[in-house]
Formats: sequence, C-alpha cells, structure tokens
Amino acid sequence: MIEEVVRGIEAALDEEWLLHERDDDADAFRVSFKSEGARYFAIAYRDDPTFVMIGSGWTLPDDVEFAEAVELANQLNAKKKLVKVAIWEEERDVLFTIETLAATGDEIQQHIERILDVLRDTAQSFFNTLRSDDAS
Amino acid sequence: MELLRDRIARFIAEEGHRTSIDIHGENADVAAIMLRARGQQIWVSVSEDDETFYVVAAMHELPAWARDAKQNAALLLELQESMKAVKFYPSQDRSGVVAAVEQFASSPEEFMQHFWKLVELVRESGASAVARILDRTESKSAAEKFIDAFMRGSQ
Repeated sequence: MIEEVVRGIEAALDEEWLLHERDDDADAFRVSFKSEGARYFAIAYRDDPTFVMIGSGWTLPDDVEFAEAVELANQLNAKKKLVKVAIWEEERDVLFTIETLAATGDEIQQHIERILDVLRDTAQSFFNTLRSDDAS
Repeated sequence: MELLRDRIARFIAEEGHRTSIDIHGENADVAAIMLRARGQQIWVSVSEDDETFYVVAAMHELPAWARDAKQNAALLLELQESMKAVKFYPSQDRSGVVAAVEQFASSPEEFMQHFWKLVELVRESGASAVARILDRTESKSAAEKFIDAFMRGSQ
C-alpha cells in the first residue's frame, strides 16, 4: 500500500517534469529529487504503511547562532500550516518536513505542488528572517 | 564542443528539472528549451551564434471568455509599463498571454546564475497580468449586465 503512495509521489514529480531517484532499503522507500536547484526527499517506512514524509534539509550558515535558529524554528512551527521545522544540533542542519497520512497514490499526488510550495516558502522565511536579524 | 542549448539544458537538469528541446523552424541555430516550474510551462530561447542573449518566457492561459485580444492589448501595454524588465504579448494562438524577459549576459554562466530569478519574474508577472485581465473582464461583464437590467427597467 505505501509503495503505491510513493508511486503517486513519483507520478506527481513526473507531471511536474522533475527528475527523481529511488533508493529503497529494508526499512523504507526513499525518493530524492531537486526543484529549482534545492534538494528534497520523500520517505515512506515499510512498517508504517500510511505515513509519508516529504521534506528538504539545509545546512545552517556558520555565523548563525544555534539558539537563534531554534527560536526561529519554534516560531515557524507555531505560525506555519502543514510544515514542521527541526534543527539538528550536531549536524547544524535545519529540516523542513511535511508529514502526512495517505492510503493511495492519488491522495498525495494531487497535493504535491502545494507541499513543495509550503516547503519552499518556509525555508525562504527561515533564511530571510535569519539574514534580516543579522543585518539589524 | 557542447552546443549552448545542451549546456543550458544540462544546467536545468542538474537543478532537478526535465527538459525538452525544440528547434525553431528552419533555423537550426535557434532553439527553445522547455521545462516546467511550479506547474508552469517555461521556455528558454537560445541562439548558438549569440551566447550573450537569452529569452525566458512563460505562457499563461486565459479562459475562453477572457480572450478578447483587442481588449487585452491595451491592458498588456499598461502592465508592461508598470513591471520592470517584463514584456507581455498575446500567444500565437491567442489562447493566453506570454510573459517574457530578454536578458543580456556576458556568458552562459552568468545567465545561469540569474536563471531562477528570471523564471520567477515571468511566472509571477504573468500571473498578475492574467489576474488583471480576468478582473477587468469580470467587472466589464458585470457593468454590462447592470446596464442591460437598468435599460430594461426604464423601458
């Protein structure tokens, strides 16, 4: 069932003329792709057949204070619809994800454009706010 | 040596987007590289004999009831004046509006640096143009309905 959801994601990416790669393993089905140069991924776990996560990961610039990034992530989590923002301290990564439940490929396929828009918009808000804080 | 069109198409593919290349009519030096971005069909025109000139354009379809080319022409000119760098014109089959940016760049690399900004520009300006056309067409039709009703009432 979850593999059909992953195929729905791939079909939506095909419709958008986006190139993508599958890299499945024993735990999960994984799709990676890029849009406008930014990297995205979709993961669906074999042991959770209706859960799917689509997201993008970015490296925090060296001059950004970890506490500042965490505070901003909290603000965006409160403010933004759909998207989750997480900061990984060790890797100094910021992760934007949309985690949702889907039982069929169609269910996710029709929302991919909106999902990508939200991920893009949140990443842009995150980094624009960091830059404007730096400038002030 | 790699053709300019292949170089640009390779860059777009590296950015994650599938492309297709159309050769313009009989002139094999001029090509259009087609791609999709955020649901919008975009094309990039390049000429093999001029590495300094590029066109990035997007076609924005209009609903059948808003395709009055004469009515839209004046509005497109007005919009063009108010938007930096963008050119508007009706598509060849008159089914929509083309938003285009003609860009000079000192090299293909420089063009590629600005590529997504140019795509954003033609996508967003075209969407604004369509919104204005639809808004005006709807207002005009509402006004006509009101005048018709008023005239009928006054007879």
